[in-house]
Amino acid sequence: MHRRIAIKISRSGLASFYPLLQEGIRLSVRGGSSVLDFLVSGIGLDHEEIEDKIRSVLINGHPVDDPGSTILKEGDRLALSASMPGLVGSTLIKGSPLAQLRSAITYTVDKEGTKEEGEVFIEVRLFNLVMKDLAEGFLQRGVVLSGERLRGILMALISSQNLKGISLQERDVTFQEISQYLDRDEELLLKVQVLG
Amino acid sequence: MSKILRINMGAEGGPQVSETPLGEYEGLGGRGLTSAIVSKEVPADCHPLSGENKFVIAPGLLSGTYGAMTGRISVGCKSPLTGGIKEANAGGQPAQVLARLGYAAIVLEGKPKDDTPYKVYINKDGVKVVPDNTLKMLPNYDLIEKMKGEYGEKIACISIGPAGEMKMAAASVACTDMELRPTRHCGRGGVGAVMGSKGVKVIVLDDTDMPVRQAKDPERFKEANKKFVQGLQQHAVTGQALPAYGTNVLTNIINEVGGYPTYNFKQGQFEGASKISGETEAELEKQRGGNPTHGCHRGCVIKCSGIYHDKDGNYLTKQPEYETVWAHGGNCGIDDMDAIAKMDFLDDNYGLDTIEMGATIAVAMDAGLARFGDAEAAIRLIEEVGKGTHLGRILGNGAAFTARAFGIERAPVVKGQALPAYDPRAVHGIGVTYATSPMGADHTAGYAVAQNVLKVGGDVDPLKPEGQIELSRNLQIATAAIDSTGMCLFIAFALLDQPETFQAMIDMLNAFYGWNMTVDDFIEMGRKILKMERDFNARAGFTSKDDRLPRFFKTEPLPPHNITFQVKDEELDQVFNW
Ligand code: SF4
Repeated sequence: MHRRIAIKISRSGLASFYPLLQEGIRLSVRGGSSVLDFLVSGIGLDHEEIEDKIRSVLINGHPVDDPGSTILKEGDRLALSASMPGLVGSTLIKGSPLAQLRSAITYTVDKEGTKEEGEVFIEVRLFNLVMKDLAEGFLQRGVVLSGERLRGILMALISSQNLKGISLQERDVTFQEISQYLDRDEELLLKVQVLG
Repeated sequence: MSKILRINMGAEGGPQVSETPLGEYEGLGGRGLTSAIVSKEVPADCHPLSGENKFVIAPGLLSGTYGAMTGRISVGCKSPLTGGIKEANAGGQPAQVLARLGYAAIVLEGKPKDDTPYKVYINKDGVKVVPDNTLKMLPNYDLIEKMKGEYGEKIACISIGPAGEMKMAAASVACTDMELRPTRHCGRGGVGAVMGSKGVKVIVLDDTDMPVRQAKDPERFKEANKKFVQGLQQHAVTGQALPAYGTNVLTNIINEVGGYPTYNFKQGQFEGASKISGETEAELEKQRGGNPTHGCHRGCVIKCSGIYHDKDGNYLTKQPEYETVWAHGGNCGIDDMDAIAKMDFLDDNYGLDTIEMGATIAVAMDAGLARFGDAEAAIRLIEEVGKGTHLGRILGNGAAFTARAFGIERAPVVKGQALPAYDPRAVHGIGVTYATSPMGADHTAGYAVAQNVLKVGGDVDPLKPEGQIELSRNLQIATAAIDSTGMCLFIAFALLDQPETFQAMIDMLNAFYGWNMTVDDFIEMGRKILKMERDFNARAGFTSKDDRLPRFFKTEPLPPHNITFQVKDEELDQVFNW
């Protein structure tokens, strides 16, 4: 089990997470979930929001055309993006009429594959407007990251005066009190509450 | 916009100015007009820097009107980089101003006897062509400051930097933006060298007292323009992604799919991508008081451009766009956004194509002239080009030339022109366009233009392997047509998804000119342009062997997907088998 840290930040503090969100956050998913299940049940998005905002879904660098039948597996890297410009950007859209142009890298659904039980960990990368619009939902749910990475984010939040509170294992603490955990070679579970 | 301004720079007794009616070129604009003039009037086997070549500048069909997005200007000639026909286009103010001055095109002809630089000044009273030795080797920013001093702030300029004067094959033609900075470039194919060979350093345009071009049916034009703008604003790409992040929004996703050429096309992913992504760039611009949402000309409603400040909050350059960030960034292993912005400024100032220069520096890094990732060394190499040192003369002639000079096998070029920022081993379809476009490797040659709306060449079955051949053909046709309107190609994303937006654009043309153009006619225009261009290239000696990617794309698998380019030569030969 990971040590649990929760922070409260003001809305403008979300920008401090943008580098992390692009590089990837680790989070747990119920085994056997499809990408769509994960976004609906795991993150709490509705179908309309998914259709409207998430136009490209990539698993391990492969464009996915049907998120409903694509099962997430331990160690998968899921990247989510809004509509992109350019010919290549357009080919990457789910079910793009130009999908043939990128057929060599299109994700193929493993129909025979066994579904994993319990909890699996995946990496999620959020890009562009998906990052801007949906970051809060992912961060609220809880992401796993290294203490060193969290230190950098907390420092940025403190210097921009966007950090409004910290708790460790559900107990309010100061930055100094959790500082020791940020130097260890340990992964932490971070939940973020955005105020306002 | 009913006449062509011709300036014979090689005439006895000095430059000679004449005006001719549009005549057989009636109904053409932008790329359609530049390609028609070059194809008809330039001997295909001439030397690109000779007096026989012509340098054509043409605003689009709707430039100079109240229509949104209509500020694109095309330049055309025989290219010193590819040896074939070339059209390169840019935004900025000159298209609008030139069109309001009544010119459908400026054609620079002949060749002056010596290397005196000329400035051409055009206003409502006429045209002056003046020799001015004080302009010699001035970088673009200094040149424009000088023009401001002489002619005031209400001008728009088309110019070359030292690279164009030195007739380098990577030289661009600069167009000034709304702030009168030389930031928008007709970049590709060495067009700046051809302008340089004509001895013209700068064309200063002043449309004071000239009216906005009026439509034949103003009410219908206004209505169609309104619908067109609504279509752009409601679309996710043109209404949200491009305004928020610019084209550099592509870095993360192209990198994610393993199609981001890195270390001179050796891998498809760059570990430093998120440091130079559009998302990161936009945040940096906001923090430093720049602006990530800015138009390059009046009338742009998408605003994919921006203003980039240095760490002290001072203007450094316009927002470097995706291709530039890739060329000087990932392709050279550089993840320092400020260094990339500096290189963007240097390219603009010396008048160089950012794609060609980035690709060339990566080749130079392969040759051991600098280490991959060494931003300072990369900056120094561009400075060598600006100064015209012996090394700079080699680099300034592009990736293919540099590879030959240093005995490097890996030259990522088609028809001598460097590939842009998508590796065709990951996305094969774009490789079809890179290989077969008459322009050489060009990411804008086959844009995602309304395939599902146009049904050019019938419905394409996306499951058939030949689907990508037909798609590439159709996209190239549609792109050639859009390039003639004066509209920025970025409107294509809204056209792809929204038939009513596409119809609104056709309605704008019809209302303006009193035409009854249909979608089919529009496509026919694109087909004709491509035919003219292909025909010129055939006469210049091009064969199907030139419609190929460099061999290493077929033989070297690209990590992380470890695939090669798999489209067969026979299939490529079908693209223009129409
Ligand atoms: S969308 Fe971008 S390139 Fe096109 S006109 Fe606007 S600012 Fe210029």
